[in-house]
Amino acid sequence: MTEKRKELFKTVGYNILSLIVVGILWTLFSHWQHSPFFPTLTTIWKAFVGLVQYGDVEHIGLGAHIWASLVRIFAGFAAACLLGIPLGLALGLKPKFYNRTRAILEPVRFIPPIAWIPMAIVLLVGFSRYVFLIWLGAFFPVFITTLLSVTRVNPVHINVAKVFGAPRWYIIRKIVIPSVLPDIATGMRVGLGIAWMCIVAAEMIGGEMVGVGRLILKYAELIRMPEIIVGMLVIGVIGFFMNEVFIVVERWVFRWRSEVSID
Amino acid sequence: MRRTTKWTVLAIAASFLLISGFQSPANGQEKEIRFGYLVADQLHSPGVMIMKEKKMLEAEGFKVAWREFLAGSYLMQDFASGQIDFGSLGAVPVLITRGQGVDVVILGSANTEGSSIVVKESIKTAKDLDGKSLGTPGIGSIQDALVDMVARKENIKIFHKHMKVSDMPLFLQKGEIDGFIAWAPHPARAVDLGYGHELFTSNDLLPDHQCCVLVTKGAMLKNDPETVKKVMKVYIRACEWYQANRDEAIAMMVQKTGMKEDVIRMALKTVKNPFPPRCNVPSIKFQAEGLVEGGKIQKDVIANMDDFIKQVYQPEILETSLEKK
Repeated sequence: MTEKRKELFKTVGYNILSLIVVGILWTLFSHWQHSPFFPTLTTIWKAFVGLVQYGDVEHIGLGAHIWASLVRIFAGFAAACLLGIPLGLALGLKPKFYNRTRAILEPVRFIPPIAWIPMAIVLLVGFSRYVFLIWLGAFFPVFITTLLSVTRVNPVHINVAKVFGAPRWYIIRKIVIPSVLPDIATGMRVGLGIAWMCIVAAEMIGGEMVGVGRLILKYAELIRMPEIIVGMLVIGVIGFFMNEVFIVVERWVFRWRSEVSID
Repeated sequence: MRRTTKWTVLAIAASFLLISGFQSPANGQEKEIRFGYLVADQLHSPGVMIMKEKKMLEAEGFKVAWREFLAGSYLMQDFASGQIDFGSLGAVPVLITRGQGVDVVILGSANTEGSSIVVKESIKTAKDLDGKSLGTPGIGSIQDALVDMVARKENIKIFHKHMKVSDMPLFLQKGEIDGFIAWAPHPARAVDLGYGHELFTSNDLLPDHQCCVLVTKGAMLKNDPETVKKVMKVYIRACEWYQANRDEAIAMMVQKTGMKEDVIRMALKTVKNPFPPRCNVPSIKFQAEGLVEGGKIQKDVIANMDDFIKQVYQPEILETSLEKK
């Protein structure tokens, strides 16, 4: 067995062990509390099975809730990437333009998506509201990382290209974009995480019956913790798997980064 | 190293105090109570509005922390976590919360009826609601239960869309819903704005149904009945004041809701505030049965419905307070 494989087994093993430890602590605490507001793992599992088999109190299945949220997240996240990456590149290449428009861009970054809800209700309709709120959350990590990474491109590379008479567009295509891609990927990963965080806020608006955020809110109204925890875990687990897939893809696409290493 | 440890311990202790809510001790002469009520619910709970606006509880020596909530279910979430001592909200969220084992007790009534279904002009009858979507304040509300009742009675399918009551007229105007059910005065406001027409009032659907109620913690009733009695007496006085000073109370409602006086007067036609504020027990029982049937209260929680109702509605303090008057 190679060292790499041994390390992988160890990592997986320790992760499983930490899950078991958290499970045991949860079980002990729930038995000690003996409260419907701190359910046991068995109760949470039963709630999960119930949601899968029979759906929620309005007979909407867990799958339908997950699908609705996934579609909203992908739409909002895609919009954030489509706007954030080109804008970040453009303003990174034209820092003067960015500095002269900072007064518009920067304050918007600090307004939380939840504060936009009343405006979203008045100005937008249905699906576009969710996309807008998720876009707001995911846009800035993608945009800012892209913008900053452009300013950090090694000037030696650019200067060498210039010495050899490379035109501006060639420098952007062959030096700037390849250099910033790993950072853009990191920004996208952070943005995706924030998009998941925004889903409950976005689905709080109401007007729809489906979505994992809506599922959580429905059971919050009924004060039923097991189903609320199922909703929370669903968000956590899907977010985790999406992040892992992203990391794998990132490693594969940018494998040239790890191919040169000291060890 | 030891210094670092000391500072780390201090930082953790400070964070813990901040998270757990570092509160200053209450004034020794005043009894502090936390009172929850619903946003724009002055028409349903005029007694609470009057107590608050005229500072009647404060005059009796209470220090009151008033807390406003978007809907009854949110108030009950805070109640369940021990953050609220008294509250005014719909009977349905109270029943649901009691069904979850929370020690909540109804002391008296705030109002009966008081909700309406407003729909777009093309909907003329209950049958027309088949396949349509109606906005409701949430799954744990009397209004949501009333929509279920219409669907069952007419054997039709109505889609529920949960949202804030104050947003409902806007959703209707934008065509995102075909109608909505809400507590007064929001339906009257939508009608006044020309967004739709009133299809049913809750009087048409479930005459004299219990709507909002006054609640407290069962433990408070047991351990500190004097405080509960004092609050109840003030509440009765506020309800009496409402019966005797309608115009002044309406002016208060206009100011609090920001709505026109004729809208408030139109909305008040759908609300009943019987005095003395006794609850409609058969209606509470009917609502509880509906909640069990709809899966909103789990069946295995309630062994005997009459016992459940006796536990949740305890009118003794109300009756004692009325007798002493």
